[in-house]
Amino acid sequence: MEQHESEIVERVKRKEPGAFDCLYERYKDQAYRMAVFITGNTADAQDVVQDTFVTVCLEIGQLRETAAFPAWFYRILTRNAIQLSKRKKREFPREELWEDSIDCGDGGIMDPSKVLLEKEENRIIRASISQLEEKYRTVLVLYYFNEFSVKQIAGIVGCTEGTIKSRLHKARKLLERKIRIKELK
Amino acid sequence: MSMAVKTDKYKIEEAIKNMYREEANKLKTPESIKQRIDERLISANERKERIKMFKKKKLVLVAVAVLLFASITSYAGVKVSSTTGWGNAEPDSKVFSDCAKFAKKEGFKIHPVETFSNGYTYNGINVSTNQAYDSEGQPTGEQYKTLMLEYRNENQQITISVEDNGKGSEKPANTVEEKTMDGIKVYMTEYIHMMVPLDYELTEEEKQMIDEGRLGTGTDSLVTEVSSTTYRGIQWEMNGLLWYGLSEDTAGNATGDLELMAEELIATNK
Repeated sequence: MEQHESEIVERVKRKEPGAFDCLYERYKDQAYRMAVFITGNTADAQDVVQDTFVTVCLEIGQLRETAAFPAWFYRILTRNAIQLSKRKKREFPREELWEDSIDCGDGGIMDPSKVLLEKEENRIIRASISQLEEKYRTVLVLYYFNEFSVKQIAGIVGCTEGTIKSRLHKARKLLERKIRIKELK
Repeated sequence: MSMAVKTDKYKIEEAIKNMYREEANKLKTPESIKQRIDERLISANERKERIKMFKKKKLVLVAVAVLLFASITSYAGVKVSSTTGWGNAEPDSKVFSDCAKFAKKEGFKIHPVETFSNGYTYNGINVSTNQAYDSEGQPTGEQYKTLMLEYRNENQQITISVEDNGKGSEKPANTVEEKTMDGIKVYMTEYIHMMVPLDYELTEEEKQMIDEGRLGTGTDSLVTEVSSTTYRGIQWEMNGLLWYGLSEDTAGNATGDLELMAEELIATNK
C-alpha cells in the first residue's frame, strides 16, 4: 500500500476532517464496480457500497495494522455483497440479474448505439457469470477484476488457498459449460 | 467468436478480464451514494453522542430535548416531531468569563448572571448544536446553537439555556401557568421524562402526553426498569432570543427558584 494511502487511513482513524472523503474518493469506483459484478445489479451495488463505507468509518478504530486496510475493506465489501445477493435471490429469484442492469450511474441508460456495438463475447460471458453461484462469481471478480492473488483472496473471503483454487477452477469449468450452451442456442 | 476459441483456458481467462475491464468502464459511481453515506454517518454519530450524554449528563440533554420540543413546533409548515441536540458531555468551560466569549461567537448579546440571590452559582457552560426532524425523520430547518449555563446550589442544579432558533417563541404545549415579568410574557412549564427499557411499549395516555409535549422518553441498553423524573421549566423571549430555565423538581421548590432567576435575568438583560 502506498505511503499516501497509509496516511489517509491513519487520518481517518484519528477522525480528521476531510480524511474520510479522501478515502471514499480513492475507493469508491473500484468498490462500486466490484459490488455490481458480485450482486449483479446497480441498485443492490449502491446499498453494498453505502453499507461498506459506513461500516469502515464507524469501525476503523478496530483496524490495528494500517497496511491491512485494503484487505479489510474488500473483506467487508465482499461479505456485504454476498449477503445481500443471497437475500435478494431468495426474495426475487432471477436468472440473469446483471445482464440488463448495466447503466451509467444515477438511473442513466447506455446509449443504444453503444449497446449495439457491445461485443457478443462480452454479452455471453456476462450472462454466463450472472448465472453462477455467489461464491464462484465472487472469486472470479476478485481474481480477474481486482487481480488479487489466490492468497489475498483467501484472506478476503476467509477460506484456505486450496478452496479458492478449487472455486476458481470450478467457476471456469461452469463458465465454459454455460458458454457452450449459450452458443449452441 | 468461435466456440473453440472461447473455451480454451487461456483465451477464456483473457476474455473474462476483458469483459470486466470493458463493463467497468461503463459504470459510473452515482454521486448520491456519498450523500446517503454522510446522512447515515451523521445519524450514527448523533445516536452515539446522545447515548453518551444520557449516561454522563442526562439533565443537559433533557434540557435541550424538552425545551426545544416545547418551543419549536413547525418549520415552514412542516411539523417538528423531534429535536436532537449534541455537544460535549462535560462543560465546555467552567470559567464564568468564558460565557461572554461563547455568546459573542454565536452572536448572542446576553449578560449572564454569575450568582443569583437564591444562592445558585454558575458552574459551567455547554454549547450544543441542534437539529429538528419531521415525522419522516428528515431534518427540517437549519441547525442552530444553544448556550446552556449550569447553576448549582448545595443540592440542586438548574440549567439556563439561550438560543436563536430563528422562529421566535410560541406558547409551549406543556404550559401550566403564564405570568408577566417586567412586561415580558413568561411561561411556566412542567415536563416528565421517563427512562424506559428498549422494548417498552408506550400506553395511549403516554402517547397523548408526548404529543402534547408533556412527556418525553429516553432509553439505552442499560435501562431495565421504567423510571420517571418531573422537571419544571420556564420560558420567555427577549431581544430576539429564547431563554429557558429547567430544573429537576425533587424538593418541590423548583418553580419558585426558576421564577426568581428569570426575574433577575430579565432585569439584567432587558
